[in-house]
Amino acid sequence: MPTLEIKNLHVSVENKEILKGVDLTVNAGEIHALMGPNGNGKSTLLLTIMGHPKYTVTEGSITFDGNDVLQMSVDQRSKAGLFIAMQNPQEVPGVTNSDFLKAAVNAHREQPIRLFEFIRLLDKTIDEVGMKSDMAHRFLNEGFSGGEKKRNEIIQMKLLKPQLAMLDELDSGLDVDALKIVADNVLDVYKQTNMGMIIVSHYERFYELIRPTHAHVLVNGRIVKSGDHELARKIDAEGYEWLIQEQNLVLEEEEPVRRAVSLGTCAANVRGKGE
Amino acid sequence: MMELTVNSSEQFVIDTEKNEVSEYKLQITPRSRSAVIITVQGTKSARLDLDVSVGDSSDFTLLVINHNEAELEINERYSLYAYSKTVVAHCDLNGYDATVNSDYAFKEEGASLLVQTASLTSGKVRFNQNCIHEAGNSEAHVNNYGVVLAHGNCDMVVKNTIVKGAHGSSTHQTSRLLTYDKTSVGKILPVLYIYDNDVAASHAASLGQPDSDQLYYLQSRGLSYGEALKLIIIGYLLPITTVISDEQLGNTLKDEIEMKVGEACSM
Repeated sequence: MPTLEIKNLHVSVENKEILKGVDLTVNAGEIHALMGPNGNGKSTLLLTIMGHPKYTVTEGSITFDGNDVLQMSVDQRSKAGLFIAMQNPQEVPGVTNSDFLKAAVNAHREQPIRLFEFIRLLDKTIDEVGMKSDMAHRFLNEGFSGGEKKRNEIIQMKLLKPQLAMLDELDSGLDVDALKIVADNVLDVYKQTNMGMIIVSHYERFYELIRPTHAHVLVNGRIVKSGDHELARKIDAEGYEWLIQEQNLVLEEEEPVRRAVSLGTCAANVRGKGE
Repeated sequence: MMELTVNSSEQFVIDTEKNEVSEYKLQITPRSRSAVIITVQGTKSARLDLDVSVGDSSDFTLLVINHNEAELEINERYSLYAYSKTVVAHCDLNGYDATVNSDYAFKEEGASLLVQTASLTSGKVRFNQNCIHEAGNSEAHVNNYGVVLAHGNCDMVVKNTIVKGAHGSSTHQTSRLLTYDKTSVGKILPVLYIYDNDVAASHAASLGQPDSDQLYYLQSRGLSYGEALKLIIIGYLLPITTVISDEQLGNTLKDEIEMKVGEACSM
């Protein structure tokens, strides 16, 4: 089974360096918890591995199964077995889940899946993650609750059966019962495929269910400490302050978020005010 | 001019080889449920004039499919009477020049209208739509979805007017144009003229190239850039199939949209 190997990875966004030399090796069957205060590069690392065009690799390498990931297009990375469950899955109005999922499944096959086989597979998978059957006919993530979007990410993971899955705050927006269902389904794929995993979460509850074999803390764009599940437990109990003091770190400030401005929409609703 | 009383389902094929100008006057029978499908085909420039009177409490759907391989001009006027429900859909995937001039007049209380258009063009397409709420408690939803291919040009000018005294009316318009590349040109002009207080009105407009985050999301699941783009374009045009109650016709339109988008994206 393939190994993901990241060496001295430096990544910038709009000329600001976010990752400053990350080294990480994930073998098949290993579950790596990636922790760290907000804004320190966790999502950047996952999205860079998956080829998001916003992130520029300025130095270092990423290989998967010995192949240069940085030379692959985004879809080639998916076909090579990489998968990311996104923190904020995109809404794509007009595109039904079933059309999208069928296209995604077919992209990973030599021959297109037969329609009835796909319908059976999709119905079974939707049922397993506890979603309503009508989700197949709804537009991709449009109008989905936060929890539904996260479950939809798991449906995609179950259908594509990756060799390395990256879960970016998959547990946010899930209630306790949904968290258990999602964790069970992640472990189900893990048992079937022996895939490697990188999991970003702020909550020990999710790690208790998934049981990571490794844990890392990313601060200021570098992995400053690695360990096993005990490290995740300690951070959940005590926070990051002890680690910052131990490592003599100074947290870099996050830049304020620039909010998008939408032009061209207005509405009037003065009903009931009378003349 | 051909005058017809409509109280059931009708289909017309207009062959532009034979008719340079086609004029129809449709009288929709009160309290009836009916649908008319007009397909325009041929290779010559042509004009289609429609004068439609939708009788009270009737339920009427009109679908115009443009298969004409030359310029087409459509001029349509609708008079909507009490508590009638009207759906007007225009599907134009041909890529030739087209102009659709539409006037919708809400003559009596309680009339409702849904307009849904889908256009995929590499030519010059222009929509001029006017909704005038002359009576109270009337309702309009005008939804235009277009994809402008390379070197194409599309204008959407939508004016919704609620006159003084048309209390309780609501009028809404949504116009969305997807431009394929930097040679595609689009213009949306949404206008609301509101002369009464007790009303609801809104417009939404979006114009631009495909969302890069949406493309990335689809690509991250193994779709190539071209496949992802094709899926997004199809998604732009498919809403027209949802307003067609005839399931078979809806599936036929869906197949046609997928085929035409496939052809356009492979060019």
